[in-house]
Amino acid sequence: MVASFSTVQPVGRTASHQLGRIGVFICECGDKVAGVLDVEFLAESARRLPGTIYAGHAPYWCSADGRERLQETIRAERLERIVVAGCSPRTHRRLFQETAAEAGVDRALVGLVNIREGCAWPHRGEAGAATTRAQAQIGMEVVHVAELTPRPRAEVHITPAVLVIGGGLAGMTACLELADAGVPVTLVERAPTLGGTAAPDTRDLTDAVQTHPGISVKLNTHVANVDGSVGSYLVTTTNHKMRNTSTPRGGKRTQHGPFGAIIVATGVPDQETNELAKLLRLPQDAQGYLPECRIRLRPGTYVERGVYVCGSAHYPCDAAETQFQAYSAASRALRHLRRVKMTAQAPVAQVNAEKCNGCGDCLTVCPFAAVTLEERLEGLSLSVIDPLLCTGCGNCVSVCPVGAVTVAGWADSQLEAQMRLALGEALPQAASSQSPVLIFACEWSGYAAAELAGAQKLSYPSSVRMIRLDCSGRLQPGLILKAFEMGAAGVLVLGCEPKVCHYERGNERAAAAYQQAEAITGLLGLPSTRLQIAWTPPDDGPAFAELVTRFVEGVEEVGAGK
Amino acid sequence: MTEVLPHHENRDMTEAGPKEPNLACTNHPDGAPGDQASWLERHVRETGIFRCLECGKCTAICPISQYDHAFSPRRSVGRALMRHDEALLSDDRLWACFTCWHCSLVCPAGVAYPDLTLAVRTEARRLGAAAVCTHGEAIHAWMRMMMDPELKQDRLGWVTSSPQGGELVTRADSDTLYFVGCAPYYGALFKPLGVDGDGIARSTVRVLNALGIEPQVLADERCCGHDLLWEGDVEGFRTLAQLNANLVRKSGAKQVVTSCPECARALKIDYPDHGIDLGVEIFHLTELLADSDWPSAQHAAHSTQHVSRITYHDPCRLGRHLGVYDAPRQVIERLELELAEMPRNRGNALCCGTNGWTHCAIANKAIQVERLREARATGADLLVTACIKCQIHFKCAMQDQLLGDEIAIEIKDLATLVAEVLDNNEL
Repeated sequence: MVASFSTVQPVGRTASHQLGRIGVFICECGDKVAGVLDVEFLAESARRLPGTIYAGHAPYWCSADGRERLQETIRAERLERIVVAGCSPRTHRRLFQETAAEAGVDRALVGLVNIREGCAWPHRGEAGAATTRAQAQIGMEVVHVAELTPRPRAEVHITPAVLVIGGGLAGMTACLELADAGVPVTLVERAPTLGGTAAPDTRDLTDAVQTHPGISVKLNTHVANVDGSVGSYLVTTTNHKMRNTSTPRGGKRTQHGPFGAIIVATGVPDQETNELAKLLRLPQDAQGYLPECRIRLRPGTYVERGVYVCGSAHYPCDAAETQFQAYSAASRALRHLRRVKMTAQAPVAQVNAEKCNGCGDCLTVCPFAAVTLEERLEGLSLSVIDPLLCTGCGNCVSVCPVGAVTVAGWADSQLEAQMRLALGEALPQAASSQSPVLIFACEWSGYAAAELAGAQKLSYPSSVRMIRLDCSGRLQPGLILKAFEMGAAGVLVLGCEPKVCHYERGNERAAAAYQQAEAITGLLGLPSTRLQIAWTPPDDGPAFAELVTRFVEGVEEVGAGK
Repeated sequence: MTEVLPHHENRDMTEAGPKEPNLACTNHPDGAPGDQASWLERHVRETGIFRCLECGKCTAICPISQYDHAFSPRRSVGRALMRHDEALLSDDRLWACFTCWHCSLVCPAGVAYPDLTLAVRTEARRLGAAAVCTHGEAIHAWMRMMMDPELKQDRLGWVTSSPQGGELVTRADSDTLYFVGCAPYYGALFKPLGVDGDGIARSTVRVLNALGIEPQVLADERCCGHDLLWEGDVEGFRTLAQLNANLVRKSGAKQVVTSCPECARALKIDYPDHGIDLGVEIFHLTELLADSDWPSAQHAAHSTQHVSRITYHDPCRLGRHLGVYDAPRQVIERLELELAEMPRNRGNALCCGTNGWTHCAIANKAIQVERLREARATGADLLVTACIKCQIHFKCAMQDQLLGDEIAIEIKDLATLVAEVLDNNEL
């Protein structure tokens, strides 16, 4: 029998989520979905969800006709948020965001849930159970969307000026490239002359740099501090040849900037490279070289900080390689400057200043150096997150002991609302084998694998309910324990394989959180087969199906043994 | 400084007051049936907070108020007297109070402010509002899961050997029951902070063994319920209390000892308050230690290696709530360690900065830093306390990236310290 929803009222908590006017659009996808799921039933039950004032189904919402009808419905019903239940969010999210935006719905308030590869196809052998799962997954997406807030837009101007650190072959080459393109360049060199390790063969370059009107050369100068943020870096330098008796450290300190880009061309690493790496928050390898510092979000999309490394600071290069790297760095810097403006892309983490107690755990865990600590009263600090560097991975949310930081879209309350709905029909006291199994899957690993498994028409048990996370590192032990408290028969956590975490090292955070949860569930006497973590590749459908099937079997065996 | 009565003995003072307050708005002294002569009305009448002089000493001494000016015990009591129940219930600082009892201690009129806090929280929860607890609510999740009578924990893994490798002896038919509390669970969650919950449990048994006691421990012990009670979840508390009471009665024990002051307070005061009688005497470990003969350590200072001077932090629940100030000090004296008292000690001790996991923010951190600075200023090498939660909160504060060195100090539970001394001296 298909379960019915109880009203989603948080247990013992004032309902604080916004129940905006929500519309649910269920896609029949021809008969690919409608052939397995009872779409009429799904629409009818979606209508009963809190905040939902419209729920309907159509053959193809993604078609031109379908989209037009969707927009008409948005206008007619004055919808503020929508959920499209159909195929993959990974292929269709942008389309529906654009469509909804044209009709006046904020892009951030558009949710998608996959009931095709997600429910209809993997569970096509059990139509009733497939519909039940779809019903739950739609409900979960609705409660998720109900709690979303329109994303604040952070926009920053990129200053058309570049700082080059290091006056050797790499640095001078980059300087000339940029200056010839009309960009004002400041070149900082710690030695009394330019030239670097390739001198005196760099004499021609040195002359060109020193006579170029667009390049300002500072010799005998070190970088002492880097302030400001993406788009407008402020750099303090010390000149050890010019003494300033008022500063005890000697050396005249000057502030330069703002700069929209910084090029590091400091040559073979030494102690000063370590200090510079810390100031610019660049990772170093074991030998001190500064490796690739682009942060990959998805193929072709990077978090652009405007900091570039070239030459032997990057890895040992001969002269030709050095020059090529310098050209490349200059080109990338130029492209960055020509954007003129940058806006925050992903949902970003925000700190509640009243709650933050300045412990700095978020700074330690952030894979993207987006966190700084600002001093406030009596030596205590406040965590400040740069919205342009933040990728919304949520590792900081997981690690924050006081709940001071949230990522819009992935707050605890929203995840709990999804969990509550997914487990709503289960009795908390007797988690039998009929209770659902909760899967926390990161979008880049488990969730992708789930969609692939569905696309490949593989089957796995329909008693699972999947909660999609941007990063498995979003999980904290409390959420896992809550799932069991709410009656989950089992909890499966899926994250990216070691070293290929989409957010650099979110899977490490997930592993740590899991270990704590495991220790506690062990003390509580929960059989170990009810909790598992697995690193799933996104491109292995059969492995996913097998993993989930075996996990559910293990959970059911335990339930039967009770 | 006048002799300070612990909380539960103070209660007689409030009950001595008039039962029928001279207030115009009370039409039905006992509340007519069906009358919403509300929870607040009842509380005001029954606890005598109408005696408040509005002198403000409570707010002056309150550590939270010092850093968060919007927090005011005096104002809350004032609201209660004006029957502004809405304002009390919707106060966003409702969950911030540590219930450390300092305010009530200095109150010249015997007003028990923490009891008012408890009453408001209980009503708030009944109406559907609840605190969002810290650490992702992990702690309250396990406490609630323990409410399940069918739960079969696996919680005795810590009963192995004493910290230095000696034998630990427990006996199922012992007259003494060691109520462990959530120490193993806290150890699991706060391992990254270096909190060894299992170690405290082992040390406690080791110490009891040295007293000639081979305690029994319960395989099905539940959380004492202290935290659920103080966050207003009376039902949850009662469920846990009942489960524990059944276990204790079945155990045949004649006395219960615990190393956690919050468990001690719950078992001694709150259980009977809610009609749950364990039928046995309850002791905190330090009380037993101070009262008993145990092998004294020769050259104790050497056996604790680098430690020459220690300072002691009075946990709120052990000190102000239960009135146990001397026992831990007597134990320290027996260890022949130099005790350098912090300026604020005994009834005047500053709280460790948070309680019940219901609220933790900048003010809490500021208080923890203040207390740690105070500890450091004594010149002590070691900060000793008798509560695992105090230890957790201090160690959490010491994680601070900017303050780190300034507030870093070694912290140990008194049970751990005694066990170490015993083991080092082979006693």
